[in-house]
Order: sequence, then structure tokens, then C-alpha cells
Amino acid sequence: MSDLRLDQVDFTTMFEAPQNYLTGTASLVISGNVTDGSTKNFSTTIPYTRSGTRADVYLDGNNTKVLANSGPDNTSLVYTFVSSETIDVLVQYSTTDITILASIFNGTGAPITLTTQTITVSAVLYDAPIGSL
Amino acid sequence: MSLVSNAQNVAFTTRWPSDKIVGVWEGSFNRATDVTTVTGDFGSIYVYRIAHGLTRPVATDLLWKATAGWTDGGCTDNFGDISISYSDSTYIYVVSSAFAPAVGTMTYKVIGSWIPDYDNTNPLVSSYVSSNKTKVFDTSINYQKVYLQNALSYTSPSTQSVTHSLGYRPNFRVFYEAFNGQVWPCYSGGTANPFLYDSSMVECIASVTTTSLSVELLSVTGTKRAWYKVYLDA
Repeated sequence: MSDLRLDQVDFTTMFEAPQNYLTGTASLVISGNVTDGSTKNFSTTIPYTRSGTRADVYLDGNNTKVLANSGPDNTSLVYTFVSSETIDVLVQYSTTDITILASIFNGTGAPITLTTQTITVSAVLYDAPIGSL
Repeated sequence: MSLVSNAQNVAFTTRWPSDKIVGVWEGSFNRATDVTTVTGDFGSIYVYRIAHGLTRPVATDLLWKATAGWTDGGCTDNFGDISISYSDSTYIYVVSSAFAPAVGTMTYKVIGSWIPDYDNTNPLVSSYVSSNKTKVFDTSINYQKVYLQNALSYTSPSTQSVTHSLGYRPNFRVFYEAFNGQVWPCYSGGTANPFLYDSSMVECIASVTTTSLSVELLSVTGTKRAWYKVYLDA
């Protein structure tokens, strides 16, 4: 096995570069009423075809793009709030697709009507060097 | 077609670098007996350590599964579990649970990528090809081209902006030092951050517009760094 100093290398076949075999887009269409103390879920899926897929999943809204798995302070940037509700985003893999689920929790003390909005989801899907999911 | 102006549509070009995967770690652990406790003034997190065999931290991407299905690192699963991975110069850490011990088995897949110019050591790294997939280059598919990359340095909580001028919101990644020498993927949630176990722990907020990348580090004391990559693709 050979060694290489990687800091100044653009590309080498001694290491795999993430193989982006597919991209996908979908939408989270958010609207409706949420009673106090309850959660309303909005989900969408992006299909994939190769076992061992991993994806970078992004959310796009409010003219801003963030990574879907970077925590509530980041995902809140693409969501238009009506009050002090919270948004939590889940990215989960089945054997055929990726589910992106946005959960809006209303802890404001009163019912709310969500701001109608569409958050665009995009995914860069990699044929990752991992075993099947 | 000009390859320069349409580089995102070709598999590979020497004009821009590609990421390098330097290791993949897959396995499982007992969440009650195989974890180490890391304690701060806010509480504890429970981590499983994996020796990575390199001399400096790597950027980690995690897929994990406990009770529910395979979930991205940084995301909560359907049962309220949440996990994330980070690294230092010796170990990759998979967070089993935060603020309360857990039971059962967690299965993980961690992909470690090189952080260019993390420091000035430029070490030798052994070639890595996964036994899962032995083809390292395939011209029929795309490779994300690193349009911009660099390290940012912070000595106080602040936001730094990097102009990219691509005219669209590009793909990007940001990793940062939550503690000195400890590289985490971009994550922030304040009181809603389940991994925030110490008041000196730094959080990161990062986003892109059509003109720039914004990287904010919170709760910085001393000097903390962040490493960003802006990709040519959107």
C-alpha cells in the first residue's frame, strides 16, 4: 500500500472521491393549522437506485440554502415563522428512497395557522463506499 | 461545449479538486456498555470511540441506526433518538445519546474525508480503497468539484462571509472546532441542541445565497477554526 501527502493533491485514484451518481429534488409544501401542544408533519421523498447510497440533503427557502442535518438554528433560516413554533428536520433512508420529514411543533400556547410556503429539497446522492443500507 | 464554463457537467477536471475519502468505518456497539461519558457543565454525552489511525482529524459523515431506520447524523429518528459524529486527531466519536444513557445496539457507518491544510503537517496518508466498492473513479458519473475551500479563524463569536459569485446557491459543507482540536460537522440549536453539553462548546450556523457563504461561530473563546468547501454544483 502506497502513501501520499494529500494536502496539495487535486485528485488521486489512491483515494475515492465521493461518486455523485444522481441528484434529486423535491418540495416540502407547508400550510395548515396546528393546535397548541401538537406537531404537524410534512414529508417528501427522493428515490435512489444504488445500495450504499448516502446523500448531502439541502433545504432551500427564503433565498437561502442550508444542510438539512445541521440543526434547528440552520433549518430555521429557510422557514418562515408565524410565531415561536419550532421546526425539526429528519433525513432517513429506506432501501429505495430518502425521506425528508419536517416536523412543526406548536408550543406557543395558542393555535396557529402556518405561513403557507414551499421549502425546496435537493439531494446529492453518492454511491458511497459503504455496505447496503 | 466549453469544459471550463460547463465543468459541473463533466465527471472530473483538474481545474478544481475533488474530496478524498480516507476511511470508512462500519460496525455496531452496545449503547449501555461500549460507550464513554463526556461531561460538561450542561451535562453529559455518551460516545463510542473509533481509532482512525490518522494523525489529524477528518471530516466525518455519519449514517446510524438504533431503533428506527438508517438516519443522517445530526437528525432525530422516529423514536426521538439522535446521533452525530465528530473527530479529533486520534478518534472518531459516534454520539450514542445525550444527557441520559441509552440501551440496545447502535449500528453506524462513518465516512471520513480529508481536510486539506488542516494544519501545516502535510502527513503521509495510506491509500484507502473500500472493500465495499473497489472502483475509485468512474467517468460515467459526476464528482463534485471544490470551487472554493479554505479555513476561517475566529477569536470571538462572529460571522464571516465568503464571496463565491456563482449566481446560484451552490452545494457546500462546513466543519468546525466545537472544542480545540475537535472537528464537528456544522450544527447549531442553542437550547434545542441535544449535543450541547458544555457552555464553552462552539456551535456553527452556515448558509449560502447566490453570492456568498456565511459561517457564524457562536460561543467562541480563544481561537477556533472552521473549514469550508463551496462546490461548483447546485
